[in-house]
Amino acid sequence: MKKLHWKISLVLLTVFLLIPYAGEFSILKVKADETGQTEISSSSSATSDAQSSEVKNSEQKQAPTEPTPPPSFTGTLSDMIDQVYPSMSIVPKPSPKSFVSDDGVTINGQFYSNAEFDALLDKMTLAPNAPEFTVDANGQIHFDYDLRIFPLAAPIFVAALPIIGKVFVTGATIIVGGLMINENNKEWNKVTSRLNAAQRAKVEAEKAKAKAKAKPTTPKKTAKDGEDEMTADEIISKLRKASIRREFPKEYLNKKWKDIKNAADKGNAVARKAKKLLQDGRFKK
Amino acid sequence: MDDSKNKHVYSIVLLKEAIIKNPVVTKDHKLFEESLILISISENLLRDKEKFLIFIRNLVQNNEEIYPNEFGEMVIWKLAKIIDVFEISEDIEFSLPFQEVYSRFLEMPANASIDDVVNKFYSDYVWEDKEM
Repeated sequence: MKKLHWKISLVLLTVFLLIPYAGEFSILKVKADETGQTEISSSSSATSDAQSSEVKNSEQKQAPTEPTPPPSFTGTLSDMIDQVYPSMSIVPKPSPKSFVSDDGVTINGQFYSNAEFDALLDKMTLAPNAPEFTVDANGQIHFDYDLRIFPLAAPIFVAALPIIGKVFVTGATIIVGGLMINENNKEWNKVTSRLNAAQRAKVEAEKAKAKAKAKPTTPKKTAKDGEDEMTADEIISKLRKASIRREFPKEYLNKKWKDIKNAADKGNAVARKAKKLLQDGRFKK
Repeated sequence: MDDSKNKHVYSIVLLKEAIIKNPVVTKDHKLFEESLILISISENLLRDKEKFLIFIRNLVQNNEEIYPNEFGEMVIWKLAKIIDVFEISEDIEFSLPFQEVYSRFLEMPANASIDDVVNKFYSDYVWEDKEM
């Protein structure tokens, strides 16, 4: 009886201690479910029928209850990577129905003549979050990112083509839709030169944007647009280093610039000094 | 004093120093002025360095007025150094006793000496005027 009393006390204590963490258990359960789902969906196409029916069953079970993922960085690790680095999203697998021929390319069974493919390449748009890259004279693509974050072999989503879809780049291969293009391929230079042009246009646009942002809204006054009518005191306050006040003649401090010039031109030595102090570019702010 | 014969036009680089009399504001800098003037003088005057120095010093004093600044201090510009003299071969005519053709100001720290200015801006200075 005493032993039973101890056992009941122990169980109650355990339940009491675990109550505050009850919510965490449910989150962990969802994460574990999602991880399991990702692993199953990323498995190869050779998965057995039993496995695929298991996937279907699990999808059917989860479909009504699974909420829409929120925009914040939550969920499984793979979800978070996709949110932070969408460029590393799912890569289309090479398709046996995609190949290059002399008169064009076939992507997922759809034939595009050379002219059609060129026209689509001209409409290429860079991926919004694509990392910056450069294309050298040999057509090699170089990314400017930390290799500790992006493994070298990871395909990077760099651009999109109308109709065909996403363009990925790995170290030595470009994947356009399901078509793998390597350096030995005749399409390599076409695609890399188009990528290069798109990247350059992006960089130029960013530069122009930054330049427009940096432009002062009110340009500084110059002698041409108003100093003639300003007094020496106003000019010094707004446009010159304050240090020249020490040597500037008091009698010309409240005189207009045009009057100082006139007096100096007539040979007044003090006015000449005032004129020289105001004219010397070393004192300009 | 000046021999009317054998007159030549010279360009002379002068260094002037602003002196603040009875300062009421703490000095935060010292201002110098480099001035390039054209002047017509005889060779004899140039050869007699002592006379030449007196002549140039008087010339500067007569053409620089003492004036007050906005702090009520008096500003006096005086000759600090003759940096260089160059004889001009061409005939240049001007009616004034001298003609200033260039000027710039040199702002130095408050405790800077004339030698500091010379070392900083005229490291190749050779025209001896130690008497000044």
